[in-house]
Amino acid sequence: MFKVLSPGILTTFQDKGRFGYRHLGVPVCGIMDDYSAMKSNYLAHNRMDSAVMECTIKGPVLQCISPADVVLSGIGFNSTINQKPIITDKLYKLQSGDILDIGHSTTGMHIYLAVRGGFVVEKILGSASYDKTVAPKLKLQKDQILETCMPDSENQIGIDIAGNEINFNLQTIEVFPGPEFDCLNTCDIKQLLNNPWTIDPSSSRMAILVKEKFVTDKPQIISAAVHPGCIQLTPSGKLILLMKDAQTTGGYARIMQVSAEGISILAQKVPGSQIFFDLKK
Amino acid sequence: MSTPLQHPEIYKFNHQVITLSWNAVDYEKITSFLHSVTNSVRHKLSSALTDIVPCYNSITIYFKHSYTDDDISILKQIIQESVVEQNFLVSRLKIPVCFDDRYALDLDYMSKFLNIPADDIVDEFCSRTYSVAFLGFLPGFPYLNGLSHKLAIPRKPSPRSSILPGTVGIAGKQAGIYPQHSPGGWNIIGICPLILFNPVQPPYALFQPGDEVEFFQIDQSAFEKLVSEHTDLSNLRKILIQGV
Repeated sequence: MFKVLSPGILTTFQDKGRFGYRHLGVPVCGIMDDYSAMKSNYLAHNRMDSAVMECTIKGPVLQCISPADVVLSGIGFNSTINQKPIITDKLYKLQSGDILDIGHSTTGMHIYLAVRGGFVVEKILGSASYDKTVAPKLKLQKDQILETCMPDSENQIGIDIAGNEINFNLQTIEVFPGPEFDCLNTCDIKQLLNNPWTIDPSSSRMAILVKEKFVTDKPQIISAAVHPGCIQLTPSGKLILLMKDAQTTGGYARIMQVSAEGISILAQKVPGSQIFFDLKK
Repeated sequence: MSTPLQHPEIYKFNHQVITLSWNAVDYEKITSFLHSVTNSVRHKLSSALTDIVPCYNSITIYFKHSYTDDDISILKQIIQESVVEQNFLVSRLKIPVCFDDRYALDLDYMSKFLNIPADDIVDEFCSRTYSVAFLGFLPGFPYLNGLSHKLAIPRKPSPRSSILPGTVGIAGKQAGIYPQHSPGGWNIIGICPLILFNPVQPPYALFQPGDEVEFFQIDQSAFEKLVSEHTDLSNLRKILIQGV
């Protein structure tokens, strides 16, 4: 059990996402950097579908009320226990009274807190993922008490993800053609692949946006379903890389798509950093 | 050249996601066919799918695991069957809307733009039967086909930063209703007092893809009364279908 001394900037519960309701306009939501979150669950001996706490830029300060084993996985946060620095990807045993300060990051966007046994979280429409309309209570508030489950007596080990190391320093994002890829000509494709794209501060859990405009005049399409990983191109040349909170339908050309691994990498890119696209067929 | 109904374009996003598209068709004409296919796919492949999302002229199918050749064969078969016979049972809802000045923020603007008196706009709007092509943009937001071509008006050049829940809007050939506060660029014609989305009450959304919708006018005091009633969503849907 924990008490929230300070909630952090955008600290929410997330799991693998909300499935089965997209036809009602309900976005999938869920963990932005699947790779790091799954690692935290794995090391905490949790099931892979266990809800984790997703922290963004500046994380919460939590007071441990009853003993808990925790793991943090993510990029570049200066986390501490009782003001002593701790590292990611290691199981720590917290005692009653310990203060866990997730800290802040300048080199990444998210860090994930998994507690052994899992957090007690109310699922809405089958998922413990925060959404401001569908599941508004799944965002941390000051003074909130967070309950955790007793760990199972048998160790529940999830899928071993050790074989799928991701290099978050990679600037190159693998992309694949999308349904409307053919609306691009050779010049468009050169423009897309030969230039760096700078992550814009207006990026969010809904979409990564880039500073640069694409010189084009692409028509809109009739609205069609979209999902996290789709890259849209607007008639005014804006590139939109849809992420986990993306709307379920959209009227912009879906020129490319990002792989699941690419989504994890993109999720950790800070505004101002640059990416390149690498087109795979 | 329109895609024939029997042979949609099959686009494979990846090993789990397929989109069926019928391009260059008059999408209003294929609505009941699309919903029949969607409904049949949902039933026949239910254990293999996480989601199935219809849109104007496409259906996107999200599989739990990699789809197989058998799954594709079943899809093709369902499409053939739906060309011959559409077995989708349509629910028709009668929806109250208040068109009073204080809510119908763009009605005067629309009247000037379309050169039609405001009362005639309201009458024309309420005289049609619409169909819910799909839900998207926000949880529970219905995109409605069937708007009178006399009322087609482009969306506003600058969106409003916040629209009231229940706001009924028009943009292009579409009509829709905002279920929650949101920015919005559609022209506001009136407001509906009903809850459009509740994540803890089945069926969760008042409008379901494929529904038919008719609007009727209510006054300010009826609007306020309905807002305060907070009817349970599943009961609400039953009441509206019966037109009580």
